[in-house]
Amino acid sequence: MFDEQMIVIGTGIRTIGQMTMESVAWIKRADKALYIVSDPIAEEMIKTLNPDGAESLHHFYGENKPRIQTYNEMIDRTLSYVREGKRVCLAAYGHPGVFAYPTHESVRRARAEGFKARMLPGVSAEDCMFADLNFDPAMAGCQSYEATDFLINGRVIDPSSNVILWQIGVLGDTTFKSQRYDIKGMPHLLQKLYQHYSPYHDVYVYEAPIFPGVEPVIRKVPLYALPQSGVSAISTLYIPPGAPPRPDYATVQSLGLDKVNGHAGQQSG
Amino acid sequence: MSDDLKRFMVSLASDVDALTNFMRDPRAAMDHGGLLPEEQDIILSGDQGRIYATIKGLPLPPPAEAPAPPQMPTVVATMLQGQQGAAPAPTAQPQPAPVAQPQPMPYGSPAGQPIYCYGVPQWPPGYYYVPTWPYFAVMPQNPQAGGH
Repeated sequence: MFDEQMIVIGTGIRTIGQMTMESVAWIKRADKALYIVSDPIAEEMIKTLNPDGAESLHHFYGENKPRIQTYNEMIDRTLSYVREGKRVCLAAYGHPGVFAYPTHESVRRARAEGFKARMLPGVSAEDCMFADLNFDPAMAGCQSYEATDFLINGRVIDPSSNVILWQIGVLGDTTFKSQRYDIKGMPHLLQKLYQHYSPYHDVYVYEAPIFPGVEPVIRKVPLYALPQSGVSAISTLYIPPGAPPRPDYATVQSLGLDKVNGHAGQQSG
Repeated sequence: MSDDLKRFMVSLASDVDALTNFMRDPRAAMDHGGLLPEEQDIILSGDQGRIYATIKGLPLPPPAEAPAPPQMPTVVATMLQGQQGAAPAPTAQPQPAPVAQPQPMPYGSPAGQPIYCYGVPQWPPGYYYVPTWPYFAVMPQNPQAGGH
């Protein structure tokens, strides 16, 4: 127990309050505390908790450099320390397993090489969104796609469910930009969404805050105005249902759900 | 970032007592932590850009405009309207169409463009199944008595 040679942790979106005690303990315990974080408090915290072993991996990013190349260099650096026999803690912002290729791949490769590796959960932007936008993915369902993947891989959405599109601010750009990304795929995205939603359907651009006392960014705009809504690299798009569900009344009746207390048992017209 | 500010922020992230004290009385906690009054003002400003710059030791950007009021989606609440136990939906009332005024995006529509008041009350009622909660199994009172 607690003998992992590599542990992957998340610092949460807002380090103050969202970082778990277990994660703090692993940072202290590790020989090397590698980190990829955007919150300066997280960076200071890691350097304070493990002054000898803290090392940022951010320098692998480069202007216009393909992100996949950066990620592979991060993985190689992480695995190199594991192979040296050091206990490595790899810290990433948010949830380390959500939209984080280097963390998953590091665990896979470490295990493939016979090392004991584990990932711990953290608080992701999606978790913050459920709380801040006050909706439950269980109600009406929830589909979640990375925006570029949604666009290029023929993903099919159900407009009667909640839809989350991640990384709309880096749509179609596979490189790293330190400033603003060119959202060249936005017209294509709108074209695809218009197949399911009215141009006037309200959507929400969301950004979780990284400091305590700061309110989240929640911008409600009609779909047609999305390109002018000021999306950034950290923006996530929430699309509320745009159509009613299509109940299967035969199944509803056979399960007795039309008589269950708490459900109205109403039928669509 | 000053050493005091650095220590203070790290303590908030790693020490639950420090965070509790900050939540109870932010000014007193920051005074105790040795933060300068101007640092305290910025931390309490709710302005993410200025807080970030202060922590990183960068030049302060101009203060951000007051944040837009919360714009919460209430679609799910509206969907449940009429079902037993559901809270009244805040958007169930007809809303007058806002008057389009010239204002910077993204908090309004382009000048002259109407904002369509989207709403779901016109939807026919359907079945919105409220999932079973909690999901975890109930533990037996006496483990020796056996369970499933």
